[in-house]
Amino acid sequence: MLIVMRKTADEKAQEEIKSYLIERGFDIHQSTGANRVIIGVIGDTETLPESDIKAFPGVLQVVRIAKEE
Amino acid sequence: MGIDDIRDEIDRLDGELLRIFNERASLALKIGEIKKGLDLPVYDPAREKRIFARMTSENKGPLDDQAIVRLFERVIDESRRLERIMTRGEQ
Repeated sequence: MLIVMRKTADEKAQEEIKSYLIERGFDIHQSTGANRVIIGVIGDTETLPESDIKAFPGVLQVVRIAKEE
Repeated sequence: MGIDDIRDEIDRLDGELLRIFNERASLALKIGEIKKGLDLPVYDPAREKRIFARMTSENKGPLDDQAIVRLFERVIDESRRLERIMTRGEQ
């Protein structure tokens, strides 16, 4: 799963979503660009409801990675 | 210095980086053990922020500060993963 943060998302918003994910046993790969932060979530993200992630402040988009058949 | 000489030097430095990455990872595992004993969270945003600030303040290039942050994000991501495995006994 990829979580794209809004340009306006501050550090507190980033820390909040990262804490949520890490406390639930997911690994994250953060990639900080000039304008955006993208958080790659590693683990069984099937158990992560998109609506819960989107509800966090600063989250612009949640992208699920398609399962390989 | 020719291209082969430069590549030899890069290979030498890669070997050194590998050793340093693993040495750092061993220390992260020790931190994980201590955190487990004290029931402290794996994620410590203030500590991560201090690492980025220190590394960018000490950076003399040619990598720019954003590149340094991206590199250390990877290093910290993997250290955090090791700490999580240590604190939760996961694989």
